[in-house]
Amino acid sequence: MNRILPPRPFLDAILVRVLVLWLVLHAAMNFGAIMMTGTPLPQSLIPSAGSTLFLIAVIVLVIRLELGRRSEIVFLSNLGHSFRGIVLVVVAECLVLEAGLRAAIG
Amino acid sequence: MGNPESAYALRAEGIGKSFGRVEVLKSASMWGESGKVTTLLGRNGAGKTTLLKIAAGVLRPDYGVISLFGDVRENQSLPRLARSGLMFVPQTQLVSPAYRVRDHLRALAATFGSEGITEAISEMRIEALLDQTVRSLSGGERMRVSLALALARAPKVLIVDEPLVRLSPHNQEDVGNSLRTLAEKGAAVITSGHDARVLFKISDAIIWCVAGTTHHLGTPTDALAHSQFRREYLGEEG
Repeated sequence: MNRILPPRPFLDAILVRVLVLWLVLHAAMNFGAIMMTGTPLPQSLIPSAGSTLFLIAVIVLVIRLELGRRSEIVFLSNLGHSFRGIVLVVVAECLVLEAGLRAAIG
Repeated sequence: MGNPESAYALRAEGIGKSFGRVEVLKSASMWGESGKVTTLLGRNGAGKTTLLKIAAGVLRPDYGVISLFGDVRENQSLPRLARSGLMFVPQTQLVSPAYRVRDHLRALAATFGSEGITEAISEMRIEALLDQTVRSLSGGERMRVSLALALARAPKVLIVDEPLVRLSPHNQEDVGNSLRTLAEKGAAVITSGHDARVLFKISDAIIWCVAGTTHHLGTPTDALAHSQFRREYLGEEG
């Protein structure tokens, strides 16, 4: 009985949504950094710690709304998966992506 | 820890809940017994759905106690209750429109094991629906899929909010029979609705939800002998 991660394909959908949101939000923040502060590439791609936390909070909020809108949260709750557990998955993926971005840019 | 000696599988007692200034429930109670179907009847806005959501851990009560097999905890949540054997089918829907029926069954099997899934598919006659997305199903088909998931899960307590709404009389009979089957397999089934004809046939106990509180009327026969219930809910004269 796996109670740590949501079952597939629900887990896959959450991971893909987080990836898309992360890319879109990063692109928007990058555009903002270049336009408003004139930060050059590739430094503009790396947000500050505060902006990263804000970005993760926005992703968690959007994922929560999406899970509710698509009736996934009730189904996953009936399988014993709490939203708190899903938040851990979302935050872990965001941290991996942030670490990957920083490693790639150097 | 749960108390195996507890007579009731699920108890919600002295429940109160307000939304803003609107007091929806005031000291309402309900309980479900293993192997029996308990039905909440009441007019729209009487608080049936709120009471079921509180019993399922979806909403938090302002006051009152929820216990599952004698295990009383503050701040019950649906995931925690689900791990102890409760399943909640909301009025909106249990299944997600974006996924295939098969995906839901696979997810259930990955969590609780695949035992009973083939039997549930055949019992609810959803073989032809397995590769369809839930979005493409009718209300009756979605309810059949939800009940197939419940049959496969074999919950100790099943809460189903208004399962007969928007169903044809034939589908109502089918869904009613499925709830009865689940109870006969040992589950405590708690449901609600307005379709007195079907619900009286499948129920062992009737709870009348009125003005935010509850009246336990006993068996359907007892309920039909209750003159105030007949007059105010069923609309019978005299």
